[in-house]
Amino acid sequence: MLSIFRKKKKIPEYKGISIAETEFTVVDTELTGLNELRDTIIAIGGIKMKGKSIKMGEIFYRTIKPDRFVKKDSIMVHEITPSELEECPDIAPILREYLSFVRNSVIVGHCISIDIAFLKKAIHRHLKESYEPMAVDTFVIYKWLIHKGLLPENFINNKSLKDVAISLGIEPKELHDALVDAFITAQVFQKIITLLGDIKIYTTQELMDIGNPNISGYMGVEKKQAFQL
Amino acid sequence: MVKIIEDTIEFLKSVPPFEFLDTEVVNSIAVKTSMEYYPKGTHILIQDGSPSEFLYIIKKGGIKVYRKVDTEEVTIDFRSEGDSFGFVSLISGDKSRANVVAIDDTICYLIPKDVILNLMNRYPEVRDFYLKSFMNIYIDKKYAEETSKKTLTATVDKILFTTTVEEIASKNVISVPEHTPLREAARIMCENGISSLVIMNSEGIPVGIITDKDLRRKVVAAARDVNEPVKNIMSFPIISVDAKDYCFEAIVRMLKYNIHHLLVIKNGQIGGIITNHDIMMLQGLSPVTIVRDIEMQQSIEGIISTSKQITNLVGNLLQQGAKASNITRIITEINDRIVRKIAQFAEREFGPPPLPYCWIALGSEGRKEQTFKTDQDNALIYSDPPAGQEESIRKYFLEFASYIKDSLLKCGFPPCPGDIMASNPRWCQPLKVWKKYFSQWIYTPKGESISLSNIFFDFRAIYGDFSLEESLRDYLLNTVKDQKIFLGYLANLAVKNKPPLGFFKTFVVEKSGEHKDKLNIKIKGIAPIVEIIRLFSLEKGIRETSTLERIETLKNKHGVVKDYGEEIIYAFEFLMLLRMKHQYEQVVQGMMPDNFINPETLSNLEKKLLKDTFHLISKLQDILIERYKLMII
Repeated sequence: MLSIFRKKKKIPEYKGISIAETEFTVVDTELTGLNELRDTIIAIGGIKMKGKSIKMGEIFYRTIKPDRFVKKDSIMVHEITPSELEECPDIAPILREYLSFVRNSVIVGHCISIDIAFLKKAIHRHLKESYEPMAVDTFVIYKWLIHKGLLPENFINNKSLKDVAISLGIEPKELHDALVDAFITAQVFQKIITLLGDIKIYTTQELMDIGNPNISGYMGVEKKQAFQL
Repeated sequence: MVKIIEDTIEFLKSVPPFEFLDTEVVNSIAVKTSMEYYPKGTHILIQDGSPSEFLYIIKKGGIKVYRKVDTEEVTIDFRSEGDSFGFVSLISGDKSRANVVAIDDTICYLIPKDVILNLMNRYPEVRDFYLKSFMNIYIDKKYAEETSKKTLTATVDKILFTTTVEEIASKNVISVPEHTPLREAARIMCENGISSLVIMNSEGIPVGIITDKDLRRKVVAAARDVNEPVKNIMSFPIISVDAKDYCFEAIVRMLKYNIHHLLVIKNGQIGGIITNHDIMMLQGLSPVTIVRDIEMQQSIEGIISTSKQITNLVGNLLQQGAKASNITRIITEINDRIVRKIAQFAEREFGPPPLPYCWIALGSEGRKEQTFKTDQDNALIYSDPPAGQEESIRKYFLEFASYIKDSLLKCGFPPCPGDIMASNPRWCQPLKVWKKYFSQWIYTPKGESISLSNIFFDFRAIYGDFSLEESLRDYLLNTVKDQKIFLGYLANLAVKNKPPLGFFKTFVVEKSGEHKDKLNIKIKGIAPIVEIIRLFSLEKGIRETSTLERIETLKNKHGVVKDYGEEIIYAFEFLMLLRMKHQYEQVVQGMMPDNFINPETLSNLEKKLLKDTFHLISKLQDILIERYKLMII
């Protein structure tokens, strides 16, 4: 089926919905590199949340056989060897499982637009479907909170998930496993929701306005400076 | 690979009761668990708010449990990593009884209600754990706190249950080796301004204690050589109390051993000394003062006025949230002392006894399970008299026993309606007659002999020559051994009263009459437990007479008690406390205390516990029926 004939997915209305009632899926992918043309997904991790409650048992983790050469240096980071990846199943069924896992939830992640870009491309190529999820970016909200003075100004230098987590008092145990990263991101998100609650931000619509991954680059705050709630 | 779940499992496996479960089971719990973050100051549960839907286990941080009573804030507990909360409200489905606030940034694992209920149904160890922790909360804390609003306002003994030994004990403990000369020991005491010294053996282990009193009595008054080693006059074994125990535990020990100094043990080391003076300084009227008053009396009249304070004392103890078993221990100790004092007066009145004798308590008094002043149940054993003197000796002890009976009556202990008292010639007998009675009851177990053996076999020495009681106990345990028919009769009695639970787990209450809609918790609950445990004790030749002490001793000896001992203890404590509360309220209202409780007046929590208790009794009865099926009629 061609995606062009597919009805545009109904985007749920989050205006009056509280964050506490909303289902989120915190997602992280492991990639062979950051080049969208050359690189590919080798693992997907996800964990469900309802509001700020992390559902320890509702998790998703799959490793994927890459369709091209895996660089040596990324092997060192992921500790997944090419031969291990050879054993892994094909990407198409995994992407279907992924879609059914995240269905009807808001996607959450640290620098999530990168993950979404790779997922979107893969889903388009292998499933011939378009993927336009509702998403919020924890890193964007983190920067916003710094900008609003709700987090210390010197936190502005934290960029990696690890540094962000540590600055919020979360112990990032073993990073670089897509599921563990998703779990740490979930804890970051938990703290962020709490901080938003302190300034009376309770609805998912407001959350998505602040955390929209497309609103700004991750490394700068220029666009966000103009952003007013 | 799935590291997150593994961490959760690992954490759960480090905290009770999950640590008792298999990994697959813990895994099935972990996948249903969620993780929440509460910044410092968050109210997680709110008093009178909706019931808890989760069991919360603290992963990181800490919480405070507190209640608001009127405008006052009462802190109930602090909990930290590995502890849980929300259980009481979860299990009862009642509104939350207390506020829970994060006192630090806190992360909790939340296990849904249905998972916990399912675990409790499937795994007895989980149920036992929660029942136990819940009972502790219920008995020690919640009850204390709820009742503090009620009629009595005395706060005297509150201190006894809220102050730990450690807080008031003198930390200044000085010890000397056992060969230290008395003169040197006395000098050390003077120099340090202390009234006691701990004596150590050559291995540095405390073996005894000497006090001012020992120096007066055993040295000065006895004109002992002051160069003798302290070892010769020390009191031993040394009686100790744990630093974390509440002061009332220290009192019970002082009363029991009739001493005024206790060694305080902290983490296995000597942590201090606590004296009766320390405790008296802490509070005014208390069990200690009552006992001291009794000891000082020189006439029955004095004892009468002192013994009138017992009801108030029970009220205070209940109010302060003491466990039923602790209250009965204190009451037993006081009542025993009243009897001993009266027996001393009797010896003064009638002259020294012609033969050694032993005054024994029977029934609930023998089991140390009295609550309020109950009927007299006692008897007297005396040594076998030489030929020709039987009559005169019998006459002496009967007059002696009648005097005690009348005196106890004056102190408010009503006579036994069945006339089971030492003043009855049938129950005032030489040892050989007692042995004959016991063997008759055991060999021809029918009608009266079964009911008598139920009362008499819980006998306990109160005053006089305890070796008589010991001999009779030896005789009983030897005789009853392997008497399957007799034990079968006891088993019959113990299964006679079935717990009053209907098909739909409703309480079966009296349909009409004075006690309509009520149930008798003594006959339906307390008595079956007492009877089952007595039977087990006789089976195994256990010497203890109190039900709780019997259970403790039987844990290592009796399969059924090994399996169900902890549950039985909690069930028994619960029933006793329920009864005591009920009777106390009746006494305060000027009514005669009885055992009839209307289950509808109980809280949901109490109803649940009562049902669990009845289920347990029913299960024990089924086990008895199985074991004694040939003998069950």
